[in-house]
Amino acid sequence: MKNISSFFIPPIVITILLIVGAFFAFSEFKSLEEENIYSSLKALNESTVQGLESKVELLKKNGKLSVSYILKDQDLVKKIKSNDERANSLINLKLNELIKPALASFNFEGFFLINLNGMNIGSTRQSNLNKTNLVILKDKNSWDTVLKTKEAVLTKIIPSDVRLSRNGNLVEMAT
Amino acid sequence: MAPLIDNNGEVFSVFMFRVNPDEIYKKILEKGKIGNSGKSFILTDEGRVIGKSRFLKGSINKSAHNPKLSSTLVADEITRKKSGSNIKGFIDHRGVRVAGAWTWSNQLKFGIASEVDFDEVMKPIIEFKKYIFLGVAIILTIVWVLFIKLINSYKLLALKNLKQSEENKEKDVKIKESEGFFNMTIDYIPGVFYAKDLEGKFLGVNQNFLNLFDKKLNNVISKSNFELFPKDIADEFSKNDKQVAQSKEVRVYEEISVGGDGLERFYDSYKFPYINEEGHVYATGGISFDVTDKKILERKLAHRSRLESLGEMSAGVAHEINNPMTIINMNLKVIKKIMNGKLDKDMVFKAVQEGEDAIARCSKIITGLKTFSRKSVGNKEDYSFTTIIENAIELVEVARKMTNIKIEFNKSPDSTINCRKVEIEQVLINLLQNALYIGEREVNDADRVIKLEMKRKSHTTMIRISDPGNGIDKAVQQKLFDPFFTTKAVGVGTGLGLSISKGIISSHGGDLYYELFEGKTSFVIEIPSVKKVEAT
Repeated sequence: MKNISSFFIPPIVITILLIVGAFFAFSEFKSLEEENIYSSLKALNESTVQGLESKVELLKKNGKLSVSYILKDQDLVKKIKSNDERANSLINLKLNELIKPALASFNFEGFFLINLNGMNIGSTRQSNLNKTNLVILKDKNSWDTVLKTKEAVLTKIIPSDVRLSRNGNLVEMAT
Repeated sequence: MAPLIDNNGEVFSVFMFRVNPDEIYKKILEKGKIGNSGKSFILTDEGRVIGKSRFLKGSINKSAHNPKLSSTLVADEITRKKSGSNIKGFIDHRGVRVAGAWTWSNQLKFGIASEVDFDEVMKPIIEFKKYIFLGVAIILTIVWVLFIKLINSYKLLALKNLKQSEENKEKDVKIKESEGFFNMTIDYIPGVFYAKDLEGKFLGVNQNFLNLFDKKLNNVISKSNFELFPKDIADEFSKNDKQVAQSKEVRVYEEISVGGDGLERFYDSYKFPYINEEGHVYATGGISFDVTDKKILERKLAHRSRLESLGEMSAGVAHEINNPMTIINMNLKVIKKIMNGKLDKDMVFKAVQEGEDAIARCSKIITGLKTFSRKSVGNKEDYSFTTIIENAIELVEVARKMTNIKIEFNKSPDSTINCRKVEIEQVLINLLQNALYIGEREVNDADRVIKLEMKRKSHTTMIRISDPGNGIDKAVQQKLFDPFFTTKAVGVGTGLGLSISKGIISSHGGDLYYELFEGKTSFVIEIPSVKKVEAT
């Protein structure tokens, strides 16, 4: 019966080879598949970022365009520059009137006009007037960057303290 | 946030508008999707998920941190404003394992993450793994089933071989036992056993052989007759061996050899051939019994018997010789008278002729007596049995004439026997003399006939000698062949004749016995006949 042990060698070798072979095949397949997933996720992510960046650039342009509407109204510009707190209501009314079409066409949910002291001198909501702008408090960097670079910037995403209701494409002024 | 710049290039105010990121990024995020479970979403640097996600019901500003779970990997990474990926799988807000990649954008000031359920992404791998496992399992099952079958076959074969081996061992043991028994038997045979190949070289001998010739086994095996015995003895042995090989049958020889003590010894050798399955003789064997003592005794007895027979016959011989001598004497007187008187040529010729006949008769009687009285020595030779019987009848002719008893010899086809002629003649003469003795005492002339009937059997030839007697008593029958037993009158017989005769016939491998045949006292000799062997 001594020779029987020699019979075990081929099947054991075959078993080991099969298991090792299967393991390597599986590992190779898994690596390729993971590489594929990684590439897909990375490409997806990059394309999404690019898309979002393009969108942001568009938003900036829209912002600049809105500013150009304001700057066209010299009377309004004067009032803004006057830093007269009493004129803020008039400024706000004028702004709301002026910006209203932009809000609708650019999907703006609201706006602020802020003087260099960080006070709201215009807003979709009347109640925000003459108050320190909350965004500046939460994203001082963006504020500083705008003043420094004199370019349009995107602020951080900041949770809103209120949700404006919509009526069709128009934003209703909060009362 | 866009600055209002005056003509001097100074910022005098800042315009800021608010958008809902969920809505404006929605289309882009919806495009960024892998598989069914894939989803892309925005994360703030505080780790908040922006937008409606498949796993966070509700709108913006929902925490990316599952309140019931610890912070997710993506939320942690984005909070640290890092980009990366994990395709090994990590737990998302739902507690579900996902694979994902995330990018922090300084320009956007938020992070974008793309995730897909790990089960979905791993499905091909899991499927592949399943098929690989299944394939390996099937192949291994086949391999092991075949292997087990092979092992079983091998085991069966091994068991068969083992059984065979055990049977062979058992057979070997039995063969060895048998050989042991055989060797022991051979060694205990009160004779010399030997086997030789066809070249006369010894293949095996028993212990008696070694003792007798004072040899060791290795000095005997492969040695020929000529290397062990003197040339004349070796010649005789070789001749007998050859005869046995040619005849392919058992033959009995009387052989002479010289033992280790240098003394000449006599043997009755029963030699036989070893024949293979094809019917070819490949060796010869033999068992020789030392009959030296018996032979010497027989010789002495035979010689004595011969002398006794000679004495018994001397009266008849004297009478028989006396008659021709009388004739010669008378004729010489006639010649003398004729020479003194008238010379008749015819009478002289007749007288001389009768004288010559008488002398020839005397010469014949004397020659027969010389032959009879000679000691039996020498080897057996092939003789015609009929001739021997006729010679014996001739030798008792004188006695027969004196008793006026007829001898009828009923011959059959002749047969050759290997014998010492003189001894067989002596036996026949003894039996004929006994028959004449019995016949002489029969009153009725019609019964005064001695009948000799010869018959050939398969291996022997038989001669039955029936005398005029009417049988022998049972008590006498038992002693018939005892030495010195006789029913003759005191001084007439010695009682040695039948015992010597039986010994002689026995030494020729035959038998001598009494029987009542057709109501008559009969003695039968059966002696092996020689087969005519064709050269192979």
